[in-house]
Amino acid sequence: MSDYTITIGTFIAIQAIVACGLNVIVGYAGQISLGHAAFFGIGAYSSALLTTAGGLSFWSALPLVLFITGFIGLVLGLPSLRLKEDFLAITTIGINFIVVSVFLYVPFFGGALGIGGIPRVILFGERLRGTPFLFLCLAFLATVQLASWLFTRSWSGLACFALREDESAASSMGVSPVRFKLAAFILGTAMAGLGGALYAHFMRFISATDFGFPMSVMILSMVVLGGMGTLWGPVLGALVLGMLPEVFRPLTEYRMFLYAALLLLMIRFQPGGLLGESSFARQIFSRLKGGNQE
Amino acid sequence: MTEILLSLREVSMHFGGLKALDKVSFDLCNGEILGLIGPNGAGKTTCFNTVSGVYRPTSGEIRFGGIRTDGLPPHRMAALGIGRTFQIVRPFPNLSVLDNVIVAMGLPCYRGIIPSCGSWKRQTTRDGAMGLLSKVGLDSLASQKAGLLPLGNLRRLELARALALNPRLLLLDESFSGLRHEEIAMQEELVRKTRESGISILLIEHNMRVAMGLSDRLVVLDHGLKLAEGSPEEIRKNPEVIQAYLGKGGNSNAA
Repeated sequence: MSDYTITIGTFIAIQAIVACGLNVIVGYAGQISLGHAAFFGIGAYSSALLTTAGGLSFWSALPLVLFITGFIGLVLGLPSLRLKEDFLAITTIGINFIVVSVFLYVPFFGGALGIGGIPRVILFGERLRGTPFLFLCLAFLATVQLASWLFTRSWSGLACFALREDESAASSMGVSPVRFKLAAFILGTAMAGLGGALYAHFMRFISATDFGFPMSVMILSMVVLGGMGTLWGPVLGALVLGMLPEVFRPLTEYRMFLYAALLLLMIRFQPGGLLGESSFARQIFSRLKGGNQE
Repeated sequence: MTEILLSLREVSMHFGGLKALDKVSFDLCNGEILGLIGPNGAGKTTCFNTVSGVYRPTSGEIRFGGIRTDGLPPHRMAALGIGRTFQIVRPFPNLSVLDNVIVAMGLPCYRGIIPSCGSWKRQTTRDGAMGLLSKVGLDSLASQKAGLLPLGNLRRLELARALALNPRLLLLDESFSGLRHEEIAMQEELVRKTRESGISILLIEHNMRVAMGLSDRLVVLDHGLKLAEGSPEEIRKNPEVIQAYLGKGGNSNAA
């Protein structure tokens, strides 16, 4: 594989991890978030600071990074999750802008210069770069997928589905809305934090603009495109939206136009996402399955 | 009379200047079916919502099983043993009928962090939910999405979900409205069986024949006030109740 392919692949794997995190919040618990890039950024910045200024290795910093992002997710989620739908969406956009400006204007976070000189990940005495780092990202993606799968099978996951479908009915069945929305929020933001940490050690230089509102929209598009609330949807969405800019490279001028056209076509013909219910992919799959049984 | 399961003491619920409930008091005994009736806007559903924890009453006291419960949120009331259905059905539309019931079976698991990490895809859980579905006659539709069911089936699904909580008290909010004759008979039978299994029932009902037929006692509300309380026979003869429903008699336009 060429360096180019590996770089694109690594980006896609990292964004897939972040998209899986958002899928837990939006797809499973039904809480719209338009500020997910903030937690991606918090993960990246905390890992960058812990490994440069803090002098920790990637591996000893990682649990702290997950804790910090999850904890900030808890603190920001507690007031936000009392809001619903449009109001929650606007609040999460606000969170995104505030986090970005904190990174940009507080000298501790490097200001406009960002943070550089982030060390590479060292595993078994090897500095990971290129293909090995891609494999590390894929291994983490597999872990995140496993965690998502386990979550959908747990009572907490079922409680989140119930809250997504009807909050009053769910709470009349003993589901505490605050507790389980927060659980989904913490899990989802911690996954974003993991993606952020990988991003920081991949780029080795980060700045606030990498984690702005456009990034949040991009991640949400991945989840919606692939299929909200499906296990593999966000991964497929990250793959498609990560590859499209490269495929359309000769058409740079028309890229945004093609994006918009694609999203409109999606909304018209596959509103549940590429892997959502009643999508073409699902129909073909169930037909194949049915064919095998006969 | 046996022991009292639910008691309301001077419960008031005001929305701004509107007194939806004004010092309403009544008791519900263990094993009893108590009907809550009254004209539209009498405060029946508000009364339900204060009992089930949706509203915190403006004043007054609600006790359930001896514990003071006014102001507790709905999920705590469910844990204490109150199951409910909704006047406008609230299924989880994108979950299967079976999963709708399984959500309610998780009640003991939602309270602790460790139990809520356990799996809900166990055969015993599934069997339990299937048992409840066959009790209400929905077992053949278990794998269907709940959103696709017609109203009659949804009303029975809500009943199955409420029963899955293993409640001591069941609140039925107009569980018979919008149903066909045969469906009403089926639902009545289910409610009677539920009571026989030892669950007390508080029901709101517009259909007088159903309310009179099922309830041991009735409480009549009108404009937030308790108008009368007694056996169906007493209520039927009560002049104030007749007046609340039909208006003042003796006038030509009342007939």
